[in-house]
Amino acid sequence: MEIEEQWRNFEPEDDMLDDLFGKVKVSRLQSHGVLSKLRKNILSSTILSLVATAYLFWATFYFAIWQVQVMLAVVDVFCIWILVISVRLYKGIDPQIDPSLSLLEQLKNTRAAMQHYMDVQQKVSIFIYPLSIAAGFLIGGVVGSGKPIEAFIGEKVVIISLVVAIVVLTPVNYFFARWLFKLFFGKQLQQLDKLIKELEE
Amino acid sequence: MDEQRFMAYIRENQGLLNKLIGLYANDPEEKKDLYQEVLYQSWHGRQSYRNEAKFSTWLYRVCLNTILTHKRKQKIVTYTDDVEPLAPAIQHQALATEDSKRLYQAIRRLAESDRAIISLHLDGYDNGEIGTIVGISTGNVAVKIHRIKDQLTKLLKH
Repeated sequence: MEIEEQWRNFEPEDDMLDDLFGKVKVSRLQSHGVLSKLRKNILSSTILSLVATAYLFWATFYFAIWQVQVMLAVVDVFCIWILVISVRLYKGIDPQIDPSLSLLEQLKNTRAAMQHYMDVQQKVSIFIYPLSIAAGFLIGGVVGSGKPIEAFIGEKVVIISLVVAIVVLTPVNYFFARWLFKLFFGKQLQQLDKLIKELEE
Repeated sequence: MDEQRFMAYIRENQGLLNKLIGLYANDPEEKKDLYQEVLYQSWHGRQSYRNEAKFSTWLYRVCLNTILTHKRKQKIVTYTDDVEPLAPAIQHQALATEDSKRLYQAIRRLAESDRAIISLHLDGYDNGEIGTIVGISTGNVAVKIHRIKDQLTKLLKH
């Protein structure tokens, strides 16, 4: 028997789809695709950023120490910048499959959207981590030591510790974020790369 | 297209969904995920379906684009069905079914992109249509189909 005929003869029976028809309304289904996951990640991190920004704004006015206020004001501006970027990124990712695209185009689009998400996160992190570390260090130091800011930052060891904290923690956070991305999406990126390569061979 | 009509179209093409999803899913959980994702994507993308085209062709594209961009486990599950002894009258039919099952399992062992190309070919799409759906040249489709068929012949001999 020809394989075309064998293929036509094969009708796998599967109750799963019938079960689904009975249980769920198709209009209420949620997507579990990678692009939907990225959008959900962006949405949750945007909400967190919003809460953090609100807290920082409050802290900016609460700590009546001008050096801290200047530092926090800079962080506030960056937080707003990050919020704008996050909203743009969220809107830019379309979780819908486009049937007018070929399979290869769809694979490349999904790959590009994932890479773009990672690139934006990394670029943002390079700016925000040093500022966050510095602000956290100064607030924590002043509140913890109970000293005025002038006295606190007047000590040489504090300045050295601040520089060390920024130099060490910025790359640590940066690579931790990369590692997390690879942990969650690395296998799928490899899968997409493999498929794209197979089709282009 | 309202939900009732859409579901009627899906039911008509249930066999296509079963066949394609079965080629890629590695366990029942993954299969359920893929069914849900394909239903979700086809429902939300239904406006792109134009009545002049066959619904099955449109659904084929949605299925392949959805399944292959979806995260899947990297393993192959082989069939472990025990074949019960059958009455002589239906033995011929059973043998044909066994051949078909073996072919299906052989296709499951191919590279993921090859599974898409050969299923399109076996479902009667010509090389030009396959090229458009998959996104490669017609010449490349012909070369790939030739190579995949060789591979299938070897797999079916074992």
